Amino acid sequence: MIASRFQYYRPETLDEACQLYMRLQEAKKMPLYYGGGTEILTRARESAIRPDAVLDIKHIPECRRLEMAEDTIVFGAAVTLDEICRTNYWPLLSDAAGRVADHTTRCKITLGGHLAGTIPYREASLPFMIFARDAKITVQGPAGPRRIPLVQVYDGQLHLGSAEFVVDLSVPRSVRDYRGASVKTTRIDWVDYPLFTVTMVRDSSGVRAAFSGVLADPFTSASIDKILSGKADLSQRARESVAQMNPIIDDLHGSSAYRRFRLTTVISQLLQEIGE
Amino acid sequence: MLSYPEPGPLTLNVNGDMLSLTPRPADTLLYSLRQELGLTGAKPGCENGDCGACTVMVDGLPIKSCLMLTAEAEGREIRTVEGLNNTVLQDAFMDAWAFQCGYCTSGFLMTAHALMEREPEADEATIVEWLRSNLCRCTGYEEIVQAVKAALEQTQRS
Repeated sequence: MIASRFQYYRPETLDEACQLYMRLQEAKKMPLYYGGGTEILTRARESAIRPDAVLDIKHIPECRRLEMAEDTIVFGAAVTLDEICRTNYWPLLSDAAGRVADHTTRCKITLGGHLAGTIPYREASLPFMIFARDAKITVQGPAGPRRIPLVQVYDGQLHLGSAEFVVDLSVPRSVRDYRGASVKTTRIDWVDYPLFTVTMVRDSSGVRAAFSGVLADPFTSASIDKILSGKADLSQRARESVAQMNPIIDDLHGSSAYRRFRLTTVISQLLQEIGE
Repeated sequence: MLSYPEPGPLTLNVNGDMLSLTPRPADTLLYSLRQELGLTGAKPGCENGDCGACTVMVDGLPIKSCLMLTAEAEGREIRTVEGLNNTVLQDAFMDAWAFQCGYCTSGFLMTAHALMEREPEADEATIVEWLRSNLCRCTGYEEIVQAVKAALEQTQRS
């Protein structure tokens, strides 16, 4: 049971949601945009957060877009990870999103909530981070919607202004052409918080990778991509790239030494899998 | 815009019946089903989205009812274990002794029922992938997988 009280609103347009958020803020309330709500509800149950209102954005059509057009794929912020996997418009994203939580919970977790939440892994963001220069994000704010390069507001953490929320993410359809793979590792059980997740792609310019569960936030690195794209044997490339990562997380899910060991193995395997 | 700033009356479609209740806006579907509607089939386990004992179906999808607000569920079709009667799946659970203490059973039944509707041709890997959403602390997983396989096979035959 959630002991605290909050109000529930179901806006139907982008403006309605944003205006309501600002009105609640002006009234000294703490509103939260609400997608799948999995993190909000679990944290509210623990009284770790005490919102005054939740604004359910799942009934805003723009947030529910899931479309593959001639040159672009659009993923609405209120689309669930299960819907992303089921439509499979971008197999690499399906791979990464399909390992978040468990099947039933993925029917509730939304892409926007996954990126905006406080759980640091955000595995489904890794394919977008690899293609960050090409990926776009639409953000709704007080001045209306703006479509900008993802890198302007996402670096493993989402940086939005007051009253802003994510409407959608989009990538060129050409991302489907690249050979890629994503691997999530856990300490013991299949369904668990990740030890780490690695997503890797190979294109004409070389290898690009994104990592989660290694440092504090998901990240990409040009210097690691350069090592991974080199000519050394696969295990040496893996060792050298892991040596670039510092400080590696050391927690109950796994020590930094254990993560380093597993990372070296998984990176070698992924390099092989994408045809290096 | 639909809004519930205070506790207020709403109607839920549960197992085909339109049921009226007056939840707080912060009440979860699990809480309302059990405390307001008396439908105690969905079990509170972790109430944290981990165990799956509270799983129900919402618009045909398995949903952990501790992770959904009652207000969110308005206008959607909810199915609880009370809405399953003499199904092939329930018979298969009994035939395979796919339960021990039984606390997790309604959650497993709802996940498996959703699987049978959405993936009628599911192979064992798919069954296991779906059932990983639910925990059985008596660890009777093998029998549960066998029961779901048997139910799917029987449905395919008929």
